Amino acid sequence: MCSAAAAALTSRCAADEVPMITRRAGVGDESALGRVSPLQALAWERERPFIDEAAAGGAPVLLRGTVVDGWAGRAWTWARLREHHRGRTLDGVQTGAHVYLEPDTTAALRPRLHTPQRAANWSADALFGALEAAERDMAAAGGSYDPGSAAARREWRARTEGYDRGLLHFGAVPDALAAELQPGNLLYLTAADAAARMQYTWMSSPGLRTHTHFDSDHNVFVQLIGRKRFVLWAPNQTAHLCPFPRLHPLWHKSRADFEAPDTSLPPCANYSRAEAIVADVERKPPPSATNQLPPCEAATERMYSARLSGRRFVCAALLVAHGGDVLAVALAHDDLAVRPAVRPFGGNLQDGVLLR
Amino acid sequence: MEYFFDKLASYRARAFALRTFFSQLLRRHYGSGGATAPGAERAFFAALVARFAGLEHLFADDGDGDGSDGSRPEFDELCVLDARGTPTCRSCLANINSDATIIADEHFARLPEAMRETLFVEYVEQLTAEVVGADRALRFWRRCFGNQPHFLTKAGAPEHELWERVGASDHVTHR
Repeated sequence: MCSAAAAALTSRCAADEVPMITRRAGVGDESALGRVSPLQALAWERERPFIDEAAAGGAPVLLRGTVVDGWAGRAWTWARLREHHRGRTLDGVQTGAHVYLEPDTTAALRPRLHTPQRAANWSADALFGALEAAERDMAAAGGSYDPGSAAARREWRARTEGYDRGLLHFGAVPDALAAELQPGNLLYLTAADAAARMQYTWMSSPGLRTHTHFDSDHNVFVQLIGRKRFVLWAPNQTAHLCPFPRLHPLWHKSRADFEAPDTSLPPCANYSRAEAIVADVERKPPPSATNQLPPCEAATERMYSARLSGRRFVCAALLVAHGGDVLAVALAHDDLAVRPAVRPFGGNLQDGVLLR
Repeated sequence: MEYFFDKLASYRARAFALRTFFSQLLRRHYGSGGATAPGAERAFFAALVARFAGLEHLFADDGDGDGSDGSRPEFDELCVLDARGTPTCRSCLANINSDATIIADEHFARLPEAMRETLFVEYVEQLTAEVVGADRALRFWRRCFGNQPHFLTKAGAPEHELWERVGASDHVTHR
């Protein structure tokens, strides 16, 4: 049942509801894991295909210098992105929690879960404005911390948890944006997949985390603005991460809160043995565009990432996030294949993550 | 895929056939020395039940009784007819073996090894919920895989009617 002790995910929690996941004070984040290794980027060539090789390799890959470097979208700024969306209505989800996790309402078991998030239609102006306000607030809340630092994000989250300050959007890529993500054929395994072009965008306020999970799809992530951290586990680590059973609405998600795992829960007893790969991806605004950003935002980084996903690359998703780094925790477990992710940019920035 | 147990008219018969199917499937999936080893079937389902630690309250009947109320968990009506154990028939076994072979050899054997086990466990969960109902799934796993025997029903015996198929015109003769 909801209680003060189960602080996470319990804002406005009714007496007959239970938190989706429980927390336990102590070691969290990467420090709670047995071993964490960085994923090194590979230099690629712009015209060189990679999907076949990536799928066959069956392991996460971080690529730099792919076809994505030729996209008009590489030069996107937050202002341009906002302009592209002007006049549109977007799905927006507000959450009072530090993680985003959506129950499967068709699952066989029906617990009374407390979901601290609410979906609504937003005008693009309102949504972008709220994301920018969240970023400004985070910078202010950070106090003496370096803007955009992990410490600043923690402080921001501590101050805003339970107050619906988390905001995210996940939706199909508008045609106007998709036109600037071309050519995209090299991102798909088959011509039919490329024709289907199932792309989705993801935007979020700073510090929001996608809860530890696995997908059944291949995924290509393209980081276009901001930065993001992926924590990935190989399929043979799945048991350590104590996924919810298939009959539960949170199936394919971990029962452990990445920030504060409750290892006293018997299925999570071996959580600290898990070995992970960490990949940081980053895309800063082009220098010529930096001055288009409000001064208070220039100190932090925005994120715009593209996620192309789909079973056998049939569908694709574009992932967008805004603000400081969003730690996306993916239980790297695909039932059939790899989940690649690629982001553009050159110089000293990383280009992409190929996830499995 | 339509399984043999999907074609049976009676709920009890479907549950009996599912127990037999899982036993055969584990043998196919793990091979000799795996689930065929003594206690291996019980161990598999004990591990499956352990996944639900802390979630037992979500089941209307979690089958956690120890018999102190006079019941005998090893004789749960979900999976045994009487002291003889779980009923089946010769043609039932042939059909069930065929189903188990298809699932093990044509589906799971083709999956990458690293992810096979996770998906296999999830498959068992889902199939159980579809056949016996999610509310009884935990009870089924706890009580029906304790090495209870199987026995063959004989034509003419009352229990042979268990194998009546769905649809009035769809009677099948069983040996």
